[in-house]
Parts: sequence; C-alpha cells; structure tokens
Amino acid sequence: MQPDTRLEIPAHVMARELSGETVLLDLVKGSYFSLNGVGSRVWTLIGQGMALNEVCQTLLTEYEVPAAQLEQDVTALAQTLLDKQLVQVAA
Amino acid sequence: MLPDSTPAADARRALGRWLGGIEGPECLGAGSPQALLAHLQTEGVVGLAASKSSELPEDLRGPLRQAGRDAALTSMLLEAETRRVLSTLRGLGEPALLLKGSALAFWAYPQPQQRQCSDVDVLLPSRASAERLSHALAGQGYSRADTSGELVAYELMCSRQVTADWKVEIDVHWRLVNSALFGSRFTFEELMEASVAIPFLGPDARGLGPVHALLHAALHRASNLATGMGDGLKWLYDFVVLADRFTEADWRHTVQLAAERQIAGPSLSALRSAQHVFGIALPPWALTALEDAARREPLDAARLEDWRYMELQTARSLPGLPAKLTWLWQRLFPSHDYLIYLYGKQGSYAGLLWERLQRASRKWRR
Repeated sequence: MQPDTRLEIPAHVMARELSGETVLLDLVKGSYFSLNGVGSRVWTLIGQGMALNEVCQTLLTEYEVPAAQLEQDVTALAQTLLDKQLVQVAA
Repeated sequence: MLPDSTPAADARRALGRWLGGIEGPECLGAGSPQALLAHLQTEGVVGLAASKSSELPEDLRGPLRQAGRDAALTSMLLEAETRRVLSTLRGLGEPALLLKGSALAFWAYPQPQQRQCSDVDVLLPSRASAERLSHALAGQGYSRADTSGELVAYELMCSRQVTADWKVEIDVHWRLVNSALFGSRFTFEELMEASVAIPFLGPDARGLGPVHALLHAALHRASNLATGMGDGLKWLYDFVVLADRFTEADWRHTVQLAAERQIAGPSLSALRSAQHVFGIALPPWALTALEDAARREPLDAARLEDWRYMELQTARSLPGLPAKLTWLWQRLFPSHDYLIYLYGKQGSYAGLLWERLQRASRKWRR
C-alpha cells in the first residue's frame, strides 16, 4: 500500500461511534469489528477521503508519537481493514 | 404512570434521574452488572445508558460497553432495513413518513443507537398505499401477518428473518395511531407538510416534525398504557430529547394543536410522566394551558390505564352501530396470524382464541 493510497468505505459497511470507539458492521458477511480511539479517528479521516499520508499528517498534529511509528501503525490498520473488506482502494 | 413507591418504581425513577442527568450514578445504588443490564433491557435504554458508561464504576462499565456495542449493531441492522424500505418507496413513488424511533433516532438523538427500536415504523397516506408497499416488500422476502382487523389496528406487519437470530419487522401504518380512538386526529397531508428531512437516511427520508412527533409520542403512550406498556423509559425519553429542542413557538403550537384535536389530556399526562421520571424542565404556562384544555375534553386522561374505560371510549369514538359491532367482532376474533404474533407462540386458532377470551375476561373484571 502506497502512502498516497486513498481508501473508501463500501456501501455494505456501516459504522457507529460509541464513547471512545467505533463499531463496524459488514452487512454482507454479518461480521463486526471494533476500533479503539485512535483507530476510530483513522476511520473518520479515511471516510473524509484523506490519503494515508494525509491521515498520518493529521494524526501527528493530534498525538505525540514518532512519525515512523505512526505511519507503520496506520498502514497496518489500513491493511487489516482492507483484508477484512471493510474498506476498498478508491478508484 | 408510576405507583408512588415500590422497589421497582424507585429503581426505575433512579435510573430515570441518572439518564436525565439530574443525579449521578450513585443514585442507582449497589447492584450487580447483570441486574442493571436486565433493568436497562426491560426499559429499552441500553444504548442511552452506554453513552454515559464512563460515569459508572469499572465493574459496570465493561459489561455496559459490550451491551452498547450490541445495541449499536442492532441499530445498524435496522438502519439498513430502513434504507431498504425507503428505496422501495422511492421505486413505488409513494410519499411516506418515518415514525417513532425509526425517525427520532436519526435526527433527534445525538447517536442513533441511543434510541432503541425493535422495528421500523412507516406511515403512508392510505390503506391502498400500504398494500402496495406490503406487496413490494413481499417480493423482497418479507412475509405479512394480518392484524386484528382494520378498525383495531391501522397497520400491516411485514417481517423478514435477516440473520439466524434476528428478525426485523416493518410496520406499515396508514393512520398515525393504531387505536380508533386517536387514529383520525391528524391527516397524512398535514403531517407531511410539517415534516422534517432526515439527511442521515438519505434525501427522501422524512419524519414527523417536532410538534407532531411529541403529540404522537403522547398518543402512542395513551394507546398502550392500558395494556401495561407505554410508559417504558425509552418512549418517555423521547419527550426529553424533543422538549430539549423546543422553542416557545413549538410549545405554543403544541398547546394549540392538543386543544384543537382534543388530546390535551393525554399530552399533559405524558409530559408530566416524563417530568416525574427524568426531571425535565417544562414551561409552566404550557402545562397550565394543557390542563385547562384537558378539563373540557370528553376523555378522562386520569383513566388511561383503565383498560375497560379505554375500550369503551374506543367503541364510542366509532361512528354508528355497524362500525362499533365490526370493531367488537374484530377485537374478539382477530386473525390466527395476529394471535400468534400477539402471544409469541404457535397454537391452534381455537386454543389461542380461548386464551384471548380468558385474558379479555380478566381485564374486564379488573
């Protein structure tokens, strides 16, 4: 996955924000997934149409964390979401 | 309406005061997480309580958060079904209004899962429109259960097994309230004219405007109190979120409409109940005006819980002897489908009917 990759949320995936987390539901598979606080923020930014590098830049202004570590974590989360078909690469 | 003081009523009031924000979680007392969750489930306020879970001690927070996730999942499944119904309506070219939690969850509550719903309620302009939607839903795997009769419930119930353990029901109404006593107080056209858009559900989604939504909540409660339902916290909390948004003009319009349609008594009763449980602030002048109007109404709102009284009032509200007799027949001899739905169990028509007659007889003697 490239830093400028943009992901989008497919129509069959729904999300709800709870206090401090986001619950995702895949209507096709009937499976669900929960994201913690930072994961929720990543989800929101992806939903706003940001590329992964833009997501990282935004998060760097919000959290005190080394850039390399953040990029690694965001990419790993994005890959997990992609593997679970909760997001897809935007055309 | 609540009895003044029983352990159950006290626990319910404590829960209301916490949810209403007038007291901290200490008012809930020391109970097990299971007991609290059971209470929240009974009252239909798991999602609402989960949004305040950070206020609770750790032993309660974890189980409540998990229950909150479950509530969110159910809410999403219902949202998907609501979108499906809206899309079907779009295809049919039928105007429609979402009712109760199906609408309020998406525009009046901060998060949809805070308003627990068990079905999707949609109002159409006529019986013919409702039949068209029901027919279209049948083509999508929904099966229809006939209600007790069109003078008893102005709705068609369509259901579909979505997952192994989750069945969704779409209640297709053609009058605002199922009870003939209140069913004709508002026309579809006037409700549509004052309706609100629900952008969360798409460009076509509309729900009752705030004033009509509040009056509808009051009528729904009045129609259900005598059956032992109607005062659940999830329904009463609708008054909290609506009152919170009301301007003085909204209150004036509420009072005017309630007096004009002769529903000031049920409206006042509902607002007072919500005030009693959640401690919400209501404009005293509006309560006084509703009280004055209620005195001039034929329905005694102090007897909303009196099943026999409400049945008689419903019979009286029907025009002419043939309608009254038809209603009585439909009330006594509903369809087999409806009896299965009502009692939640399979059985022969004769067996279920016998159960119904026994229940009716007990209520009548009470």
